[in-house]
Amino acid sequence: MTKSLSQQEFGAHARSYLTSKPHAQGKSLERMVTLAEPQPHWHALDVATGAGHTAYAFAPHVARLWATDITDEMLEIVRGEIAKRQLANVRVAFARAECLPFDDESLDLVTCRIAPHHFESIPRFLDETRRVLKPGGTLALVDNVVPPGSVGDYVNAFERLRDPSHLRAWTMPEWREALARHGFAIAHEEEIAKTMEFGPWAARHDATMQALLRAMLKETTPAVKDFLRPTEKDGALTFDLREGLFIVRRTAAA
Amino acid sequence: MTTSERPSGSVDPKLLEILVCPLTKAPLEYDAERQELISRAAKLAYPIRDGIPIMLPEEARPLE
Repeated sequence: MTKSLSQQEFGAHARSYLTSKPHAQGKSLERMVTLAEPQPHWHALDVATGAGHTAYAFAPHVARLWATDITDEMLEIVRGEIAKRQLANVRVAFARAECLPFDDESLDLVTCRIAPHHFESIPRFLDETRRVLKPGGTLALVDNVVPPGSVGDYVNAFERLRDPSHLRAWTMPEWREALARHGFAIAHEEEIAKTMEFGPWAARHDATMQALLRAMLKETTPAVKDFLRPTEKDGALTFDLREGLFIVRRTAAA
Repeated sequence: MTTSERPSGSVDPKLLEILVCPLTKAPLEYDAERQELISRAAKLAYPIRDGIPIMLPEEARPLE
């Protein structure tokens, strides 16, 4: 099988996602669980689970949870962690976000965190999420978001240079419009800033590529700098990204 | 957490209840012997490897 860009990138760097601070400890993970109000009888699905952090956070609060991904190396890690954390109600499967193997109206909750910017088609993912959710069911979604216009384009190009499987992070207005169009009512939304450490973020690349990424971060327009806020402190370079968090309910009629 | 522990490599059939064929969304038959999930509608058998259902059409075995 020909591997997709996501399978190549996540396969090569799988283990780093298990310990990655923005993925394992990000503020949005705690906010997601609080705001989604998971119930003990719920059946849930975590789409594009990656190293499984969202699945581990929700599993103790629901009856059953499926975690899906398309990368061998990621699911292998998730299975090991499930056993280690004794989360007996979690099951894993290979599935594409755009082509979910779950029955219509079979789930109470779908979660998806820091993943849609890798998807081939976010609209198809939303179609499928709507299909598998029960009427009134909850989608708890977090993804990197960018400002509209040229600043957003620059940030996406910067992220894509580091990770070719980063296709495009959307803007908040794009998400609002797409969620409404796919039959979801927004119950809550917020933007959360996160500070990224350049070192671990760029560590998958050689010195030449790291210098290029560093230059993109530091030698850019004031508008881009206002968003990315590159900061050098005690020899360590950091910058900011933003996440959009949406808690939405599947409406009854299409 | 009420699900009973299964030996690794096997699948709790109850957990497969909501799984459908990703292409046709039709129900699947569980072949415990071959560790496959059969989609008659799509004429595909999705493998279960080490207890993990592989619900990717390109990884499925075409049925005669």
